[in-house]
Amino acid sequence: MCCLGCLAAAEFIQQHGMGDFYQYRGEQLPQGAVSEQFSKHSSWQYYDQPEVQAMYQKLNEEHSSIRIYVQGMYCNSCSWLIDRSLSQLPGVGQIQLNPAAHQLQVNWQPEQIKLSEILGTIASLGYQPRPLQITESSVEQREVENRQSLKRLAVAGFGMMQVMTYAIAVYWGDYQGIDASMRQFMQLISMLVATVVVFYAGRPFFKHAYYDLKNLHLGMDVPVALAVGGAYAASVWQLLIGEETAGVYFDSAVMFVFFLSLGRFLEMRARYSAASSADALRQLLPPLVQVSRRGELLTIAPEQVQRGDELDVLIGDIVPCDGRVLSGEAWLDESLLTGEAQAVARETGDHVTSGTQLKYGNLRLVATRDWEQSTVASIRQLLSNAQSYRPQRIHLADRLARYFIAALLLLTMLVGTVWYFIAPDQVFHIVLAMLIASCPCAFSLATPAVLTVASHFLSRHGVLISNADACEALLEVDHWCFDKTGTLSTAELAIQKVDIFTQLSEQECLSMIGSIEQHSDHVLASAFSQSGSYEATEVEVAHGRGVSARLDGAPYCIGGLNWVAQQCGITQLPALQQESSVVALGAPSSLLAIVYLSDRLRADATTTLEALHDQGRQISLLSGDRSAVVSRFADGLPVDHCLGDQLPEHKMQYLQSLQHQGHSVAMVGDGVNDAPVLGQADVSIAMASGSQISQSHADIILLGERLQGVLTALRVSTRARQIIRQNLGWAMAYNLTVLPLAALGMLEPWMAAIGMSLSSLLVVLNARRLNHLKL
Amino acid sequence: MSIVYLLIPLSLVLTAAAIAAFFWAVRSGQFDDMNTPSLKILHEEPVSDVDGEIAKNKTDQVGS
Repeated sequence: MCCLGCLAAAEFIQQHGMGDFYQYRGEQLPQGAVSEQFSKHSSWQYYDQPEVQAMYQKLNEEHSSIRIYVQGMYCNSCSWLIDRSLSQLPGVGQIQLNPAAHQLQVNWQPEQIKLSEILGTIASLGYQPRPLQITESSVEQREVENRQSLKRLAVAGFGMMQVMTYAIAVYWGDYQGIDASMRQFMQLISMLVATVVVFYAGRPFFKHAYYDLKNLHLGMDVPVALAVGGAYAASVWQLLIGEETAGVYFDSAVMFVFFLSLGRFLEMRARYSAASSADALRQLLPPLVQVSRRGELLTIAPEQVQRGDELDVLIGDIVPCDGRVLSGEAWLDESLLTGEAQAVARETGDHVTSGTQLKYGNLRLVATRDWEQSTVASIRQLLSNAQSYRPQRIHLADRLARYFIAALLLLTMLVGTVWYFIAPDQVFHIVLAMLIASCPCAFSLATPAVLTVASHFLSRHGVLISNADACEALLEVDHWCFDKTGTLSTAELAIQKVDIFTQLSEQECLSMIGSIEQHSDHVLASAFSQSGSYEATEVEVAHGRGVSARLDGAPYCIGGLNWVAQQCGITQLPALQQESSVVALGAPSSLLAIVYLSDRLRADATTTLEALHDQGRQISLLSGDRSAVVSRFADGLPVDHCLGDQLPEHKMQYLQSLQHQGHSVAMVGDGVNDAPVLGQADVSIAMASGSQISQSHADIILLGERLQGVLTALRVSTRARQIIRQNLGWAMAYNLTVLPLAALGMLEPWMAAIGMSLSSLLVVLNARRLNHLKL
Repeated sequence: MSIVYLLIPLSLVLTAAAIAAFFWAVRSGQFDDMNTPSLKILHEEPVSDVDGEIAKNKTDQVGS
């Protein structure tokens, strides 16, 4: 069962007597399951209050509409299940699901059904619905942009086909003989179509050119707008006022607009290819919390939590606010702050931070800060800062294009002036031919075409590119920073060393520990996955401390050294080499063994680091873990700098100082705490197994737990850069040969247009050669 | 050849119709998600089966 959806689908089908379809397997559910208390419809009534709903829903004449982020919706089974269940509710209209973005949009009739019932239905399926505020839907903006460019592309495409048909009729007519009136008619029709294409599909070019000129910046769009606008205006002028009807270039103008729109569209698709979530950080928190405020029990959104509110946190819950423990004791996963997966104990009087997950036990908290000052909110602040400080990248093509365009415009003006003195009637004709011939179309396609092919190629090899620029930037990186836990190591623990204080063999000790640990759900227990050969009886679990049990009748206990010593009455304790991740095995009045655990190094970590090192890159290891642990971990790895005890701020400062020294830095991380650091790096790479938020700030995402994807990305980027250079070289060479011809008046504008299209085609075909790269 | 004066405007009307159809398709969200709908067909069969089952259950209840 891949996810909740499949599981629920299986159960749904089983309930209807069709269980034969599935061999039910009780595998672990992915995280994101909604806690029991919120699967009832009544708990979602918070979202029924009109003032709350106004923040989330869009009102229409006929229906209300809302976007919901559904945590746990991974695949088509999920979307199918949600779709089926919602559409059976009365008053629910159109449902649009987007499993890739984990979002759905639903329209409903407020008179017939309440929002809380819709949310409750999703929750009762086991998903965690989270209504998105109207202001948060950046996805929507993206959708609008995508639709808009599709429409423009369609108009340009259809228009181009029409105008080319008429143009061929006219060209053929010139060769074979054509009625003057028919010719005029064809051109008038062409003008009609071209008007639509130029002013509808070509609008973005004019708009950008206008802004470019206003900001005194010479972008690609300036000559584009000049060429399109010039060709169009000249043709209209020639057709309506001019006497000779030769200089009509609607075909060139329209073809130009189409090819450029296509290039821009491909570029946009590459940019949006990987899904990034709207506000991933807020998605960490539960959608609803139950608090008691001045004795009154309220169900509210976590953003509404105020200082002094009291609340209970149960196993598996995320702590929604910063607070102090009133009662209870528990183990918390603080990976948000430290990045380290090992749980920490918290008792009465201790402080807890928002975004941490409760692993065992339960707590009653009092909130010590309002939402705005909470840790989660401040990490978000840190993130947005990091992104605004990030060094700006300038495309190679952009840099070249700026000079090229400036030179081009000057040259065109110069040639125009010269021709003005030689033959004034030829000026327009020649200037136009020059602008079209030198059109940076192949130029502007050269990079995006290659990057699109590269990101497709990489996604087939387990590397997702969410920011196409990353391919170019990756090659300039001379300093690689890696996070430890979850990135270089897997989150699971492995046995590092066993100290034996008895005659028993190591094997026997581990077997005994394994037999007892089977009964514990502690994180450390997972290291002893191989089951022991003993039968454990009278098992007593002391949460967060250890387990005592009888093996073949004899009493033993395992757990932290101090606890075991206390239980077994041991007075002399050996000095520990490390404090955490230690499991001791004790029998009454004797210590039998101490097992040291550590993170398991990823299988391909060493080869990846060595390959990077061999290429002359510096490698830093940044970890929130204690320095001693980190430096022991780095033993035997080709790491140049190794830093422990690093909070997100420290990591960011480290990266900043490297960047100040002129290094280009790549950061590879996985956790929530890495997100600001990823935002700071020149190239950010996240593990797909890590948190949503780090992925949404990453340029590159490595799928399938494979660090080697880094090397693949480097190989492909190197090749991509080669091809981009070839393309730019070709576009440059083409333009430089054609320009003098156009300047000398030897090139008709239509010839220039065909040449331009062929040159663009060549660029696109050349980009496809990347697919033949052997890895 | 004068038929061309009629046919070409007609072709323009057809083009306009095609563009209008495309715009409608874009506006109704048919191009928003280009990946998952192709897989959706795999899920249709169990749906109809379950529906059939539900319908049967309902008729059973009505019958009893």
